[in-house]
Amino acid sequence: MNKYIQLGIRLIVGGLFIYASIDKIVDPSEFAKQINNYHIIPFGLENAIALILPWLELFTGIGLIMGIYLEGSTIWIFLLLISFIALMGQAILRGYNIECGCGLKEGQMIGLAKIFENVIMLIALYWVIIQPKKYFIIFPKTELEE
Amino acid sequence: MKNVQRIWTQGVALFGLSIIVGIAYNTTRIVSVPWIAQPIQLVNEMDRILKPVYEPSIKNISIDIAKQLVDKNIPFIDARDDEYYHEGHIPHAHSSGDLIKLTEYLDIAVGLFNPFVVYCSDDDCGSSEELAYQLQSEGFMNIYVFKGGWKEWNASGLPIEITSNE
Repeated sequence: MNKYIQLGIRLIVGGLFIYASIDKIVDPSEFAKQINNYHIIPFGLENAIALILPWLELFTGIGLIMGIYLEGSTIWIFLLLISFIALMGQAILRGYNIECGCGLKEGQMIGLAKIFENVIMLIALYWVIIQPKKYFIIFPKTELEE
Repeated sequence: MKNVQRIWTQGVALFGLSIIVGIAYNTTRIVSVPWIAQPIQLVNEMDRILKPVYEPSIKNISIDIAKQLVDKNIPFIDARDDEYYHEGHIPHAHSSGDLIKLTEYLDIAVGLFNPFVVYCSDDDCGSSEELAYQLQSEGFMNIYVFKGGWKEWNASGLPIEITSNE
């Protein structure tokens, strides 16, 4: 049972990250504007982030599902989810009414519902991280795999 | 310790791969994106602002220019939520509300090439720039963002307008 829950969580979270990365990869300028709307990234670095972050989402999403660099991918997604929650939280506290730039649905605004979605994914992923045995690891093979 | 080292190595490898692919992808794009974003330019010359523009342009204006543009009946668009708009806004400003209705209004009021101004609550809010880019993608060429927004306007003791929300 544990095996199927772990694989299910990896499939859903990894799938969402892959899906979310596509629009951002296709149109990095648009993604950069969405990052800029948060008014938190200094020195015009939103463009650099918009050019690199979607690829990180794509590779970690693939890694999580396929079991390639599984631990690295899981930790990266965990850290990204924490950053997304913090980013949206500060924007809500500052009274912004902006698109979240999540990449899942066009025109989706920031809000408590989006934060809740991310918290659910974070909890699920944390559960995967603390499991002593991992399943379906393609590369590298480790002693964690059963 | 061995586990931490392995996770660290994997994390760095994934990040490095993302950087390399990001650079390669941006280099091979027909229109590559500059790695450092340029801030929106501030314009202070009224003559320049009032001229029609035939290439997409979004620029910032100060409160002095904003006041002069209100006096000249240049349309202002309030990008804040409706409830804030109804509580008080720049005189004759139009609420952003529905994007389709807004583009219809701007089409009639200014057309694609004449100037209009977008503002939100203050220079820290993102919705005016976001709306400006949305309107630019709808074909409007000559857009100005009043960064100081409602807070600067109201704090300066300039005239305001309050409308019923019914």
